[in-house]
Amino acid sequence: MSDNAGSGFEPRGFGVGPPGLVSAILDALPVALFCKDAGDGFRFICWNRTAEDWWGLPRERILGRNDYDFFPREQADFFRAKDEETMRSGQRVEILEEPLDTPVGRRLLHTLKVPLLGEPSHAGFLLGISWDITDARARERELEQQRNVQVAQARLASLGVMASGIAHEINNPLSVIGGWASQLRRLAEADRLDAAFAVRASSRIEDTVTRVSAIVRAMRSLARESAGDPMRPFLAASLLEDTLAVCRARFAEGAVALKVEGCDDLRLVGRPAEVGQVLLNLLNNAYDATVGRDGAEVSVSITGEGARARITVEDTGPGVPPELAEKIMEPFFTTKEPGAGTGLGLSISRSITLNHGGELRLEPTPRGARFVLVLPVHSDARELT
Amino acid sequence: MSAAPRALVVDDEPDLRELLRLELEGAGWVVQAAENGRAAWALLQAQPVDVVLTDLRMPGGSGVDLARKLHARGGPPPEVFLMSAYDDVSADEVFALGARELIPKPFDFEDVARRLARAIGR
Repeated sequence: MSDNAGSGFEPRGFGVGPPGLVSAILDALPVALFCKDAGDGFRFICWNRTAEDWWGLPRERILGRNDYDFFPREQADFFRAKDEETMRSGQRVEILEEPLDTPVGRRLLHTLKVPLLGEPSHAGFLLGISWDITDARARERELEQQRNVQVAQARLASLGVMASGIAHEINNPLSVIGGWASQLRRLAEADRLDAAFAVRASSRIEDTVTRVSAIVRAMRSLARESAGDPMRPFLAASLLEDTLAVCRARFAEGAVALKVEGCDDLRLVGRPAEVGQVLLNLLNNAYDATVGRDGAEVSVSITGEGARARITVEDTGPGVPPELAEKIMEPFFTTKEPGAGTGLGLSISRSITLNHGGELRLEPTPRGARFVLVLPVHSDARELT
Repeated sequence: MSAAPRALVVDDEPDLRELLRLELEGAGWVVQAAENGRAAWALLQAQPVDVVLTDLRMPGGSGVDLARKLHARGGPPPEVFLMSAYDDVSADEVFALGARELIPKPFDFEDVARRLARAIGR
Protein backbone atom coordinates (compact mmCIF):
# COMPACT_ATOMS: atom_id res chain seq x y z
CA MET A 1 0.00 0.00 0.00
CA SER A 2 2.77 2.46 0.87
CA ASP A 3 4.49 1.88 -2.46
CA ASN A 4 1.31 2.37 -4.44
CA ALA A 5 0.39 5.50 -2.56
CA GLY A 6 3.89 6.93 -2.83
CA SER A 7 4.39 6.50 -6.57
CA GLY A 8 0.83 7.34 -7.61
CA PHE A 9 0.59 10.37 -5.37
CA GLU A 10 -1.13 13.22 -7.10
CA PRO A 11 -0.71 16.63 -5.43
CA ARG A 12 -3.84 18.04 -7.04
CA GLY A 13 -6.94 17.64 -4.98
CA PHE A 14 -5.56 16.12 -1.81
CA GLY A 15 -2.41 17.97 -0.77
CA VAL A 16 1.34 17.86 -1.07
CA GLY A 17 3.92 16.12 1.03
CA PRO A 18 6.79 13.69 1.03
CA PRO A 19 6.29 10.18 -0.38
CA GLY A 20 4.63 7.93 2.13
CA LEU A 21 2.64 10.72 3.81
CA VAL A 22 -0.72 9.61 2.39
CA SER A 23 0.02 6.06 3.52
CA ALA A 24 0.89 7.31 6.96
CA ILE A 25 -2.31 9.33 7.07
CA LEU A 26 -4.40 6.35 6.01
CA ASP A 27 -2.65 4.17 8.59
CA ALA A 28 -3.36 6.71 11.30
CA LEU A 29 -7.09 6.82 10.67
CA PRO A 30 -9.21 5.15 13.36
CA VAL A 31 -11.21 3.38 10.67
CA ALA A 32 -10.29 0.25 8.76
CA LEU A 33 -9.57 0.96 5.11
CA PHE A 34 -9.10 -1.61 2.38
CA CYS A 35 -9.13 -1.62 -1.36
CA LYS A 36 -9.79 -4.47 -3.75
CA ASP A 37 -9.08 -4.69 -7.47
CA ALA A 38 -12.37 -5.45 -9.16
CA GLY A 39 -10.54 -6.18 -12.40
CA ASP A 40 -8.45 -8.88 -10.76
CA GLY A 41 -10.75 -11.12 -8.77
CA PHE A 42 -11.23 -8.60 -5.96
CA ARG A 43 -7.71 -9.14 -4.68
CA PHE A 44 -6.66 -6.83 -1.86
CA ILE A 45 -4.35 -4.01 -2.90
CA CYS A 46 -4.61 -1.84 0.23
CA TRP A 47 -5.04 -2.77 3.92
CA ASN A 48 -4.38 -0.07 6.51
CA ARG A 49 -3.02 -0.39 10.04
CA THR A 50 -6.43 -0.30 11.72
CA ALA A 51 -7.61 -3.12 9.45
CA GLU A 52 -4.54 -5.11 10.46
CA ASP A 53 -5.36 -4.57 14.13
CA TRP A 54 -9.04 -5.38 13.92
CA TRP A 55 -8.78 -8.47 11.74
CA GLY A 56 -5.45 -9.51 13.29
CA LEU A 57 -4.03 -10.00 9.80
CA PRO A 58 -0.85 -8.16 8.69
CA ARG A 59 -0.94 -6.67 5.22
CA GLU A 60 1.80 -9.06 4.00
CA ARG A 61 -0.72 -11.89 4.38
CA ILE A 62 -3.60 -9.95 2.80
CA LEU A 63 -2.25 -8.13 -0.21
CA GLY A 64 -2.60 -10.07 -3.47
CA ARG A 65 -5.19 -12.42 -1.97
CA ASN A 66 -8.96 -12.34 -1.79
CA ASP A 67 -11.68 -12.98 0.78
CA TYR A 68 -11.83 -16.71 0.00
CA ASP A 69 -8.25 -17.07 1.26
CA PHE A 70 -9.19 -15.89 4.76
CA PHE A 71 -12.86 -16.15 5.50
CA PRO A 72 -15.18 -19.14 5.69
CA ARG A 73 -16.88 -19.77 2.36
CA GLU A 74 -20.28 -18.47 3.44
CA GLN A 75 -18.87 -15.20 4.76
CA ALA A 76 -16.65 -14.74 1.71
CA ASP A 77 -19.70 -15.29 -0.54
CA PHE A 78 -21.51 -12.55 1.35
CA PHE A 79 -18.60 -10.11 0.98
CA ARG A 80 -18.22 -10.95 -2.69
CA ALA A 81 -21.91 -10.41 -3.36
CA LYS A 82 -21.70 -6.98 -1.74
CA ASP A 83 -18.54 -6.16 -3.71
CA GLU A 84 -20.18 -7.11 -6.99
CA GLU A 85 -23.31 -5.20 -6.12
CA THR A 86 -21.18 -2.13 -5.45
CA MET A 87 -19.28 -2.30 -8.72
CA ARG A 88 -22.35 -3.19 -10.78
CA SER A 89 -24.51 -0.41 -9.38
CA GLY A 90 -21.76 2.18 -9.30
CA GLN A 91 -23.28 3.20 -5.93
CA ARG A 92 -22.10 3.04 -2.35
CA VAL A 93 -23.26 -0.05 -0.54
CA GLU A 94 -23.57 -0.17 3.22
CA ILE A 95 -23.33 -3.08 5.62
CA LEU A 96 -25.03 -1.54 8.63
CA GLU A 97 -23.91 -3.87 11.35
CA GLU A 98 -21.54 -6.77 11.19
CA PRO A 99 -19.90 -8.54 14.11
CA LEU A 100 -16.17 -9.14 14.04
CA ASP A 101 -14.13 -11.11 16.56
CA THR A 102 -10.96 -9.09 17.07
CA PRO A 103 -7.99 -9.66 19.39
CA VAL A 104 -9.69 -7.18 21.79
CA GLY A 105 -13.03 -8.97 21.74
CA ARG A 106 -16.15 -8.86 19.65
CA ARG A 107 -16.77 -5.54 17.91
CA LEU A 108 -19.61 -4.31 15.70
CA LEU A 109 -18.60 -2.74 12.41
CA HIS A 110 -20.42 -0.49 10.01
CA THR A 111 -18.94 -0.83 6.54
CA LEU A 112 -19.25 1.34 3.48
CA LYS A 113 -18.21 -0.01 0.09
CA VAL A 114 -17.41 2.58 -2.55
CA PRO A 115 -16.74 1.92 -6.26
CA LEU A 116 -13.69 3.80 -7.57
CA LEU A 117 -12.31 4.58 -11.03
CA GLY A 118 -14.45 2.15 -13.02
CA GLU A 119 -13.94 2.58 -16.78
CA PRO A 120 -14.46 0.48 -19.91
CA SER A 121 -10.88 -0.83 -19.87
CA HIS A 122 -10.87 -1.71 -16.19
CA ALA A 123 -13.54 -2.83 -13.82
CA GLY A 124 -12.26 -0.36 -11.20
CA PHE A 125 -11.53 -0.68 -7.54
CA LEU A 126 -13.55 -1.21 -4.46
CA LEU A 127 -12.78 0.94 -1.46
CA GLY A 128 -13.96 -0.41 1.85
CA ILE A 129 -14.27 1.73 4.96
CA SER A 130 -15.25 0.11 8.23
CA TRP A 131 -15.80 1.88 11.49
CA ASP A 132 -16.41 0.58 14.96
CA ILE A 133 -19.96 1.15 16.16
CA THR A 134 -19.73 -1.07 19.25
CA ASP A 135 -19.72 1.86 21.68
CA ALA A 136 -22.36 3.80 19.78
CA ARG A 137 -24.62 0.74 19.83
CA ALA A 138 -24.00 0.29 23.54
CA ARG A 139 -24.96 3.95 24.12
CA GLU A 140 -28.10 3.49 22.06
CA ARG A 141 -29.00 0.46 24.10
CA GLU A 142 -28.41 2.42 27.27
CA LEU A 143 -30.65 5.24 26.06
CA GLU A 144 -33.28 2.71 25.09
CA GLN A 145 -33.08 1.23 28.58
CA GLN A 146 -33.38 4.66 30.18
CA ARG A 147 -36.39 5.32 28.01
CA ASN A 148 -37.93 2.03 29.07
CA VAL A 149 -37.46 2.96 32.72
CA GLN A 150 -39.17 6.31 32.12
CA VAL A 151 -42.00 4.64 30.27
CA ALA A 152 -42.41 2.25 33.20
CA GLN A 153 -42.45 5.15 35.68
CA ALA A 154 -45.02 7.04 33.67
CA ARG A 155 -47.08 3.87 33.44
CA LEU A 156 -47.02 3.54 37.21
CA ALA A 157 -48.14 7.15 37.54
CA SER A 158 -51.10 6.69 35.23
CA LEU A 159 -51.88 3.40 36.99
CA GLY A 160 -52.16 5.32 40.24
CA VAL A 161 -54.81 7.48 38.65
CA MET A 162 -56.45 4.42 37.18
CA ALA A 163 -56.48 2.68 40.55
CA SER A 164 -59.21 4.92 41.95
CA GLY A 165 -61.37 4.20 38.92
CA ILE A 166 -60.59 0.52 39.32
CA ALA A 167 -61.64 0.49 42.98
CA HIS A 168 -65.04 1.68 41.84
CA GLU A 169 -65.18 -0.75 38.95
CA ILE A 170 -64.36 -3.70 41.18
CA ASN A 171 -65.97 -2.86 44.52
CA ASN A 172 -69.35 -1.87 43.10
CA PRO A 173 -69.78 -5.09 41.08
CA LEU A 174 -68.58 -7.09 44.08
CA SER A 175 -71.38 -5.54 46.13
CA VAL A 176 -73.84 -6.44 43.38
CA ILE A 177 -72.64 -10.04 43.13
CA GLY A 178 -72.60 -10.42 46.90
CA GLY A 179 -76.08 -8.95 47.16
CA TRP A 180 -77.70 -11.27 44.66
CA ALA A 181 -75.90 -14.30 46.09
CA SER A 182 -77.04 -13.38 49.58
CA GLN A 183 -80.66 -13.05 48.41
CA LEU A 184 -80.48 -16.43 46.67
CA ARG A 185 -79.00 -18.14 49.71
CA ARG A 186 -81.50 -16.74 52.20
CA LEU A 187 -84.53 -17.39 49.98
CA ALA A 188 -83.35 -20.96 49.40
CA GLU A 189 -82.70 -21.49 53.12
CA ALA A 190 -86.25 -20.29 53.88
CA ASP A 191 -87.58 -22.48 51.07
CA ARG A 192 -89.05 -19.38 49.41
CA LEU A 193 -86.89 -19.27 46.28
CA ASP A 194 -88.90 -19.21 43.08
CA ALA A 195 -87.38 -20.12 39.74
CA ALA A 196 -88.00 -16.78 38.05
CA PHE A 197 -86.15 -14.92 40.80
CA ALA A 198 -83.29 -17.44 40.75
CA VAL A 199 -82.90 -17.02 37.00
CA ARG A 200 -82.95 -13.25 37.24
CA ALA A 201 -80.47 -13.08 40.13
CA SER A 202 -78.11 -15.56 38.48
CA SER A 203 -78.06 -13.69 35.22
CA ARG A 204 -77.40 -10.42 37.03
CA ILE A 205 -74.44 -12.13 38.70
CA GLU A 206 -73.20 -13.43 35.33
CA ASP A 207 -73.54 -10.02 33.67
CA THR A 208 -71.69 -8.40 36.51
CA VAL A 209 -68.87 -10.93 36.32
CA THR A 210 -68.58 -10.16 32.59
CA ARG A 211 -68.35 -6.48 33.43
CA VAL A 212 -65.54 -7.05 35.93
CA SER A 213 -63.69 -9.34 33.51
CA ALA A 214 -63.72 -6.63 30.87
CA ILE A 215 -62.15 -4.10 33.19
CA VAL A 216 -59.53 -6.55 34.43
CA ARG A 217 -58.63 -7.43 30.84
CA ALA A 218 -58.37 -3.78 29.86
CA MET A 219 -56.28 -3.02 32.92
CA ARG A 220 -53.93 -5.89 32.15
CA SER A 221 -53.47 -4.88 28.54
CA LEU A 222 -52.66 -1.30 29.54
CA ALA A 223 -50.49 -2.05 32.54
CA ARG A 224 -48.33 -4.79 31.11
CA GLU A 225 -44.61 -4.42 30.58
CA SER A 226 -44.37 -3.39 26.95
CA ALA A 227 -40.68 -2.72 26.37
CA GLY A 228 -40.01 -5.96 24.50
CA ASP A 229 -43.27 -6.02 22.55
CA PRO A 230 -42.99 -6.14 18.78
CA MET A 231 -44.72 -3.45 16.75
CA ARG A 232 -47.90 -5.08 15.45
CA PRO A 233 -51.17 -4.16 13.79
CA PHE A 234 -54.14 -3.60 16.09
CA LEU A 235 -57.64 -2.16 15.94
CA ALA A 236 -57.81 1.46 17.05
CA ALA A 237 -61.38 0.95 18.28
CA SER A 238 -60.45 -1.90 20.68
CA LEU A 239 -57.62 0.10 22.11
CA LEU A 240 -59.93 3.05 22.67
CA GLU A 241 -62.47 0.73 24.29
CA ASP A 242 -59.86 -0.71 26.68
CA THR A 243 -58.60 2.73 27.58
CA LEU A 244 -62.08 4.11 28.19
CA ALA A 245 -62.94 1.05 30.28
CA VAL A 246 -60.43 2.06 32.92
CA CYS A 247 -61.39 5.73 33.11
CA ARG A 248 -65.08 5.94 32.22
CA ALA A 249 -66.21 5.61 35.84
CA ARG A 250 -63.89 8.41 36.90
CA PHE A 251 -65.33 10.70 34.22
CA ALA A 252 -68.91 9.82 35.14
CA GLU A 253 -68.36 10.43 38.84
CA GLY A 254 -66.51 13.67 38.25
CA ALA A 255 -69.45 14.75 36.06
CA VAL A 256 -67.15 15.20 33.07
CA ALA A 257 -69.10 14.28 29.93
CA LEU A 258 -67.22 11.95 27.62
CA LYS A 259 -67.97 12.08 23.90
CA VAL A 260 -66.50 9.34 21.75
CA GLU A 261 -66.37 9.15 17.99
CA GLY A 262 -64.68 5.98 16.87
CA CYS A 263 -63.59 4.58 13.59
CA ASP A 264 -64.61 0.96 13.53
CA ASP A 265 -62.16 -0.74 11.23
CA LEU A 266 -59.12 1.49 11.44
CA ARG A 267 -55.93 -0.44 12.16
CA LEU A 268 -52.79 1.09 13.63
CA VAL A 269 -49.30 -0.33 13.89
CA GLY A 270 -47.37 -0.27 17.12
CA ARG A 271 -47.31 -1.44 20.71
CA PRO A 272 -50.93 -1.27 21.86
CA ALA A 273 -49.99 -1.03 25.54
CA GLU A 274 -47.84 2.04 24.87
CA VAL A 275 -50.33 3.78 22.61
CA GLY A 276 -53.03 3.07 25.21
CA GLN A 277 -50.82 4.69 27.81
CA VAL A 278 -50.50 7.83 25.68
CA LEU A 279 -54.26 7.93 25.20
CA LEU A 280 -54.96 7.36 28.88
CA ASN A 281 -52.52 10.11 29.77
CA LEU A 282 -54.25 12.56 27.42
CA LEU A 283 -57.63 11.57 28.85
CA ASN A 284 -56.40 11.96 32.44
CA ASN A 285 -55.00 15.40 31.64
CA ALA A 286 -58.27 16.40 29.96
CA TYR A 287 -60.18 15.18 33.01
CA ASP A 288 -57.96 17.16 35.38
CA ALA A 289 -58.39 20.26 33.23
CA THR A 290 -62.19 20.10 33.21
CA VAL A 291 -63.39 18.45 36.43
CA GLY A 292 -65.45 20.80 38.57
CA ARG A 293 -66.00 23.29 35.73
CA ASP A 294 -69.39 24.12 34.20
CA GLY A 295 -70.06 22.22 30.99
CA ALA A 296 -67.07 19.93 31.58
CA GLU A 297 -66.70 17.78 28.51
CA VAL A 298 -63.97 15.71 26.89
CA SER A 299 -64.27 14.47 23.31
CA VAL A 300 -62.19 11.73 21.77
CA SER A 301 -62.28 11.03 18.08
CA ILE A 302 -60.38 8.76 15.74
CA THR A 303 -60.25 9.49 12.04
CA GLY A 304 -58.21 7.99 9.25
CA GLU A 305 -56.43 10.30 6.84
CA GLY A 306 -54.74 8.16 4.23
CA ALA A 307 -51.70 6.47 5.74
CA ARG A 308 -52.15 8.28 9.06
CA ALA A 309 -54.67 8.04 11.84
CA ARG A 310 -55.60 11.10 13.82
CA ILE A 311 -56.67 10.65 17.41
CA THR A 312 -57.96 13.87 18.94
CA VAL A 313 -58.55 14.48 22.63
CA GLU A 314 -60.31 17.78 23.20
CA ASP A 315 -61.49 19.33 26.44
CA THR A 316 -63.49 22.33 27.64
CA GLY A 317 -60.92 23.28 30.27
CA PRO A 318 -59.00 26.56 30.49
CA GLY A 319 -56.68 25.57 27.64
CA VAL A 320 -52.89 25.85 27.48
CA PRO A 321 -51.54 29.43 27.56
CA PRO A 322 -49.58 30.11 24.33
CA GLU A 323 -46.37 30.77 26.27
CA LEU A 324 -46.53 27.25 27.75
CA ALA A 325 -47.43 25.45 24.53
CA GLU A 326 -43.81 24.50 23.87
CA LYS A 327 -42.95 23.75 27.48
CA ILE A 328 -45.70 21.26 28.26
CA MET A 329 -44.04 18.44 26.35
CA GLU A 330 -40.77 18.87 28.26
CA PRO A 331 -39.85 16.33 30.93
CA PHE A 332 -40.85 17.23 34.48
CA PHE A 333 -42.90 20.25 33.42
CA THR A 334 -46.24 20.27 35.21
CA THR A 335 -48.93 22.78 36.08
CA LYS A 336 -50.57 20.42 38.53
CA GLU A 337 -50.35 20.69 42.32
CA PRO A 338 -47.26 19.08 43.87
CA GLY A 339 -47.95 15.37 44.07
CA ALA A 340 -50.73 15.48 41.51
CA GLY A 341 -48.62 14.98 38.42
CA THR A 342 -45.17 13.62 37.65
CA GLY A 343 -44.58 16.06 34.81
CA LEU A 344 -43.50 13.06 32.77
CA GLY A 345 -46.81 12.25 31.11
CA LEU A 346 -46.63 14.37 28.00
CA SER A 347 -42.89 14.06 27.46
CA ILE A 348 -43.08 10.27 27.68
CA SER A 349 -46.18 10.32 25.52
CA ARG A 350 -44.35 12.31 22.90
CA SER A 351 -41.34 9.99 23.08
CA ILE A 352 -43.60 6.93 22.68
CA THR A 353 -45.35 8.58 19.76
CA LEU A 354 -42.10 9.48 17.98
CA ASN A 355 -40.95 5.93 18.55
CA HIS A 356 -44.07 4.80 16.67
CA GLY A 357 -43.23 7.06 13.74
CA GLY A 358 -46.04 9.40 14.75
CA GLU A 359 -46.40 12.80 16.34
CA LEU A 360 -48.12 14.36 19.31
CA ARG A 361 -49.02 18.03 19.18
CA LEU A 362 -51.20 20.67 20.71
CA GLU A 363 -53.48 22.27 18.15
CA PRO A 364 -55.04 25.70 18.48
CA THR A 365 -58.74 25.61 19.28
CA PRO A 366 -61.22 28.38 20.20
CA ARG A 367 -61.66 27.04 23.74
CA GLY A 368 -60.06 24.39 25.93
CA ALA A 369 -57.18 22.28 24.70
CA ARG A 370 -56.90 19.96 21.72
CA PHE A 371 -54.20 17.31 21.65
CA VAL A 372 -53.69 15.44 18.43
CA LEU A 373 -51.96 12.10 18.23
CA VAL A 374 -50.98 11.12 14.70
CA LEU A 375 -50.02 7.49 14.10
CA PRO A 376 -49.26 5.35 11.07
CA VAL A 377 -52.12 3.22 9.80
CA HIS A 378 -51.70 -0.43 8.97
CA SER A 379 -52.72 -1.22 5.42
CA ASP A 380 -52.79 -5.02 5.19
CA ALA A 381 -55.81 -6.61 6.85
CA ARG A 382 -54.41 -10.13 6.62
CA GLU A 383 -51.72 -9.52 9.21
CA LEU A 384 -54.20 -8.36 11.78
CA THR A 385 -53.83 -10.06 15.13
CA MET B 1 -95.48 0.06 67.20
CA SER B 2 -95.01 3.30 65.31
CA ALA B 3 -95.25 3.68 61.51
CA ALA B 4 -92.73 1.89 59.35
CA PRO B 5 -89.38 3.70 59.16
CA ARG B 6 -88.51 5.38 55.87
CA ALA B 7 -85.19 5.06 54.05
CA LEU B 8 -83.86 6.76 50.96
CA VAL B 9 -81.27 4.80 49.02
CA VAL B 10 -79.04 6.79 46.63
CA ASP B 11 -76.71 5.01 44.22
CA ASP B 12 -75.99 5.21 40.49
CA GLU B 13 -75.77 1.41 40.27
CA PRO B 14 -79.32 0.11 39.52
CA ASP B 15 -78.61 -3.36 40.93
CA LEU B 16 -77.51 -1.89 44.25
CA ARG B 17 -80.65 0.23 44.46
CA GLU B 18 -82.76 -2.85 43.81
CA LEU B 19 -80.84 -5.05 46.24
CA LEU B 20 -80.89 -2.48 49.03
CA ARG B 21 -84.60 -2.02 48.46
CA LEU B 22 -85.21 -5.79 48.70
CA GLU B 23 -83.09 -6.00 51.84
CA LEU B 24 -84.62 -3.05 53.63
CA GLU B 25 -88.20 -3.74 52.63
CA GLY B 26 -87.66 -7.27 53.91
CA ALA B 27 -86.62 -5.69 57.23
CA GLY B 28 -89.76 -3.59 57.38
CA TRP B 29 -88.60 -0.30 55.87
CA VAL B 30 -90.44 1.86 53.38
CA VAL B 31 -87.83 2.47 50.74
CA GLN B 32 -87.40 5.15 48.13
CA ALA B 33 -84.48 5.19 45.71
CA ALA B 34 -82.67 7.80 43.64
CA GLU B 35 -79.82 7.53 41.17
CA ASN B 36 -77.93 10.64 42.26
CA GLY B 37 -77.76 13.42 44.83
CA ARG B 38 -79.90 15.83 42.84
CA ALA B 39 -82.75 13.36 42.38
CA ALA B 40 -82.47 12.43 46.07
CA TRP B 41 -82.74 16.06 47.16
CA ALA B 42 -85.88 16.48 45.05
CA LEU B 43 -87.46 13.39 46.65
CA LEU B 44 -86.59 14.64 50.12
CA GLN B 45 -88.45 17.89 49.53
CA ALA B 46 -91.66 15.93 49.02
CA GLN B 47 -91.11 13.20 51.60
CA PRO B 48 -88.83 13.37 54.63
CA VAL B 49 -87.13 10.11 55.65
CA ASP B 50 -85.53 8.69 58.78
CA VAL B 51 -82.37 7.47 57.09
CA VAL B 52 -80.45 8.41 53.94
CA LEU B 53 -78.02 5.81 52.61
CA THR B 54 -75.99 7.38 49.85
CA ASP B 55 -73.04 6.55 47.66
CA LEU B 56 -70.35 9.23 47.74
CA ARG B 57 -69.57 9.61 44.06
CA MET B 58 -72.24 9.64 41.42
CA PRO B 59 -72.71 11.37 38.11
CA GLY B 60 -75.17 14.21 38.53
CA GLY B 61 -74.92 15.18 42.19
CA SER B 62 -72.57 13.55 44.66
CA GLY B 63 -73.36 12.07 48.05
CA VAL B 64 -71.00 14.58 49.62
CA ASP B 65 -73.08 17.50 48.34
CA LEU B 66 -76.26 15.79 49.45
CA ALA B 67 -74.92 15.18 52.96
CA ARG B 68 -73.72 18.79 53.17
CA LYS B 69 -77.08 20.16 52.14
CA LEU B 70 -78.92 17.92 54.63
CA HIS B 71 -76.52 19.01 57.36
CA ALA B 72 -76.96 22.70 56.53
CA ARG B 73 -80.75 22.50 56.34
CA GLY B 74 -82.60 23.42 59.50
CA GLY B 75 -84.79 21.02 61.39
CA PRO B 76 -84.07 17.47 62.54
CA PRO B 77 -81.91 15.87 59.84
CA PRO B 78 -82.22 12.21 58.88
CA GLU B 79 -79.45 9.83 59.86
CA VAL B 80 -77.00 9.80 56.97
CA PHE B 81 -74.96 6.76 55.96
CA LEU B 82 -72.30 7.11 53.29
CA MET B 83 -71.22 4.29 50.98
CA SER B 84 -67.95 4.32 49.10
CA ALA B 85 -66.07 2.02 46.77
CA TYR B 86 -62.87 3.88 47.64
CA ASP B 87 -60.75 3.99 50.79
CA ASP B 88 -60.51 7.72 50.57
CA VAL B 89 -62.78 9.15 53.24
CA SER B 90 -61.54 9.60 56.80
CA ALA B 91 -63.65 9.37 59.93
CA ASP B 92 -63.12 13.12 60.41
CA GLU B 93 -64.54 13.85 56.99
CA VAL B 94 -67.55 11.63 57.64
CA PHE B 95 -68.13 13.49 60.89
CA ALA B 96 -67.67 16.88 59.21
CA LEU B 97 -70.39 15.97 56.75
CA GLY B 98 -72.74 15.27 59.63
CA ALA B 99 -72.95 11.63 58.60
CA ARG B 100 -73.30 8.74 61.02
CA GLU B 101 -70.82 6.39 59.42
CA LEU B 102 -69.12 5.26 56.25
CA ILE B 103 -69.96 1.85 54.83
CA PRO B 104 -67.18 0.65 52.55
CA LYS B 105 -68.10 -1.32 49.43
CA PRO B 106 -68.42 -4.24 49.04
CA PHE B 107 -70.63 -4.71 52.10
CA ASP B 108 -72.83 -7.32 53.71
CA PHE B 109 -76.47 -6.39 53.04
CA GLU B 110 -77.83 -7.90 56.27
CA ASP B 111 -75.21 -5.98 58.19
CA VAL B 112 -76.23 -2.73 56.48
CA ALA B 113 -79.86 -3.37 57.42
CA ARG B 114 -78.82 -3.94 61.07
CA ARG B 115 -76.80 -0.71 61.15
CA LEU B 116 -79.70 1.30 59.79
CA ALA B 117 -82.06 -0.22 62.33
CA ARG B 118 -79.67 0.61 65.18
CA ALA B 119 -79.45 4.21 63.97
CA ILE B 120 -83.14 4.77 64.56
CA GLY B 121 -83.19 2.77 67.78
CA ARG B 122 -84.88 -0.39 66.53
